[in-house]
Amino acid sequence: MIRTRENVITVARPFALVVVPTVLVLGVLNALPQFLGGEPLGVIRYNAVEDLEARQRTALWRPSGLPAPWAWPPSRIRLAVGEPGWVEFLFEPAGHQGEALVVCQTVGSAGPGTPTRLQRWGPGLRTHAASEGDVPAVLLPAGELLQASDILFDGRVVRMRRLLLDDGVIVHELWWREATTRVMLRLRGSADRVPQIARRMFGNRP
Amino acid sequence: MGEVAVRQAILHGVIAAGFVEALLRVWRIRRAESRLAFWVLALAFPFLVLPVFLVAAPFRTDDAFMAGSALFSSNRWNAVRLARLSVDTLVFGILALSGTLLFLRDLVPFLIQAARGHREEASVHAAPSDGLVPRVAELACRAGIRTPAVTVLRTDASVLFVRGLLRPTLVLSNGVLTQLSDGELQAAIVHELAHVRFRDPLAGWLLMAARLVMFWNPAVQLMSRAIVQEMEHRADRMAVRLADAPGLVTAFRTLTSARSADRPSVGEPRRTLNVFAERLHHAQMSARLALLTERQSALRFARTRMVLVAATLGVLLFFVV
Repeated sequence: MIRTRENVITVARPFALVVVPTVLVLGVLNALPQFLGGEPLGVIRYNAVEDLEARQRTALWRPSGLPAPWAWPPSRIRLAVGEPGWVEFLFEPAGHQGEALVVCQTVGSAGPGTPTRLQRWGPGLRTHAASEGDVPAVLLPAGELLQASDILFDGRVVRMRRLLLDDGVIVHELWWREATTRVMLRLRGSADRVPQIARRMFGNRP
Repeated sequence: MGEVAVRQAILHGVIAAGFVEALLRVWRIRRAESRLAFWVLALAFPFLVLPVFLVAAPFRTDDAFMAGSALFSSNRWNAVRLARLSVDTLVFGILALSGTLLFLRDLVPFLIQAARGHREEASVHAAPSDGLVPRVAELACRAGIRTPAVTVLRTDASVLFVRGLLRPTLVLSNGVLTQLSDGELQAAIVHELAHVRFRDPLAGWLLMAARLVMFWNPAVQLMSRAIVQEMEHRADRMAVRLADAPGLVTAFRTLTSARSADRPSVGEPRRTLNVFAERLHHAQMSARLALLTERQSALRFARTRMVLVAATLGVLLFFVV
């Protein structure tokens, strides 16, 4: 046994000289990918929806249809881990002409027990990833909430939101629920198009 | 699951090897027995500890753990592309290839020489000269082991090794008997008897099996080599203690120069160790000779250090996936 302070230093100081750099190097190597075109911490990218479903041992909600110019499968599939986890599907238009459509959904414990908290927000309120129900900021950039309203649409309650992102772009979101899954659609441009697109997506694709 | 286990075995092996190598340097551990113990400990991580992790903590391979709790997760590099290939695939591919090449680099010459050696050895046995067996018996007594059988090969090539897992046999050639002086021969024989005492032939076979099982793991290949090297140093130290250091030094020089002149020599299992020794770079050989005459004190707090390293590596590698 090591008894004296001097002996402790003899053993512990060189030991710390190895342990600390090892932990630091591993931590840096873990964080580095996000600066090299990889994903931020807490986000995983998958090559196919089936891969994600297999890894998560769950079946994801898939839109029953997509209006042109977007088409299945999504060009980017990402998961932000957490409770609940959030999956992002990015649909890019054919030929990359036009804007991309983002569809997010919960995986995990966003079941019926989780309150939807339908409430109206005033303009100028800042949204945060940590706030209940929002998509984590590591997955989708948060923005300044300009307007929010809950509406009855196609027989279901949906929430419409209008946000100003940090890069000055205005986006529109539509939130609804498919069985136990919360779904969010985000699109740039005109607010009128969002419900039309969502209507095509309602329901489960077989 | 298989691919995940392979990747983690490589990762854990590399980290354990680097960690132990760094500690051997900062703690300035020179004694072969201590270095050997640390290398064996490092080798246990990909072979014993990782399977325990995989069975007892399967959640480590879940996305939530890898993305949220892991200190390092290799699949984070999956999204980083280099020439249309993900970086993690590229890195693990290179590592697996280098591990395989390291393994083949030692396996192929071993198999060739073993096949050739069996043919030669079967036809060139000679009777041990008068006085050789009693001399070996006396040295074995000094080394604290039973006298091994002695086989002399009728060849001028320099051959000296021990073989046999249960019944060790000291094999030496007429070439060795004529090339070495009495003092040199005594030191060289004690070196081989030290291998018998420490059951190095058995350890050599176990290491070979380990290398075969993880032929794709470069860290396992390198750690196995390091272990073999330390076993040689340990045998050197015993030879110095029981025979004489200058004799061993000159015996090394004589045998090394003779071996490079008449390579390949006969083959047999224990030669795996000798193959490594023969291939030591000149600088490494010089370092080994320097170690022979170096005064090495026992490592203080050896057990505490081992426990510290094992616990730290265990915790660290739990969070590396």
